[in-house]
Amino acid sequence: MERYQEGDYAAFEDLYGRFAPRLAAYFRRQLLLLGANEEDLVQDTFLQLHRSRHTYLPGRPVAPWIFAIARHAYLMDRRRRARRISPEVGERALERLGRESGEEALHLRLQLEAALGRIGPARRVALLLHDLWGWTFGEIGERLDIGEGASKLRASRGRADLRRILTESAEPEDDD
Amino acid sequence: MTTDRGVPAQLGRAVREDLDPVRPAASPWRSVWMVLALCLPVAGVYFLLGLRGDAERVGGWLLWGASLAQVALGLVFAWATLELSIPRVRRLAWKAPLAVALAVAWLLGLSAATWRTSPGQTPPGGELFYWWICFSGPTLLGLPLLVLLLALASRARAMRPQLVGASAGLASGLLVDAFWRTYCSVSALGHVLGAHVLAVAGLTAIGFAVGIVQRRRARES
Repeated sequence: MERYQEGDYAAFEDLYGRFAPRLAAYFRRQLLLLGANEEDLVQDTFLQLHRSRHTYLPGRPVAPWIFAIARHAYLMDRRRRARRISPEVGERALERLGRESGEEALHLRLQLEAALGRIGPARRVALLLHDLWGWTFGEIGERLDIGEGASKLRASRGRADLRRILTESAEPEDDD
Repeated sequence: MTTDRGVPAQLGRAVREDLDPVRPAASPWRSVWMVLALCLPVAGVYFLLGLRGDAERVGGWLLWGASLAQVALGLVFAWATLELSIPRVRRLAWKAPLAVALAVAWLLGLSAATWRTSPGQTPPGGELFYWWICFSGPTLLGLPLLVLLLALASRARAMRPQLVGASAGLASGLLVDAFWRTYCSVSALGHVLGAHVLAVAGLTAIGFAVGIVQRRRARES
């Protein structure tokens, strides 16, 4: 990283080779339901990382620094997407489940689909609009014609439901 | 299209076009010394204002010792501000409220201890005047510190600028209040809460608001 800060392009390539696959995997996990392109986000992260390379303090671990920038890139992207999306987003997001490929992705997708299906529609829509599409609670409230507090409550309860359902399904069953 | 080492061509081109060597940002501890340096002229203002009337009764430990401890606490918050401005994956869910609670507990605990030693009341009829002096004074004197901290923090790339701003405000508020308490002899809880702590809260709110503006600008750019 220090060599990269000194202007060594080969060091940037090393960094890319080391972290691009990990970032792609990270974004794949985050974007599973969105079906967005993780490669775009990896590139966006490295561009932001390049502009912020002076903020890396020599001697410190590189991964937490890179992943903070990646998370920021992901959140910014999520917000940008949110502005472009039509209102029936919650339903559409659910429809998108099922388009990814790969065994692991399929397994997770099925788990999520089942779990989301068990959450009440009001909570589910608020949860998806906020956590998946990045709408603010004010925007959700406006769209659903409810108060900001109510939309926050619905999303929070939806999240708690999702966590509970996923935890239950992850617990090993008793043998007897 | 990618290069032989996997870097997409477009990204590689963008990076190569701007590959000048960069100087890494100063470590937070090194920048804290700059904050401490700015504290000296701020402290000078208090020497002009004079020492609180009951300084002897309060005693050296409770007056100077506690103020020095508060300066140290303020510098820790200044360090935290600069540390927070550097990108890094962090879990802050409980740490941020804990830090605020610690600062408030310190301010209240210190004023309670001072009150027990020397119960200084606002002179009858002077409540509003004392309130205004003890609210506006620290707020105004804290602004240069806040500006310096925000400027130092802006050299990094804060992922949560509003948190960085609030932390900068809290740090500058604590630092200024550490000096202000050597001047103001009123230790009644109502005055301390309504003026001194409110000034610290005001600086924190200003920092937070600046952070929100920075975040909006970053999103728009």
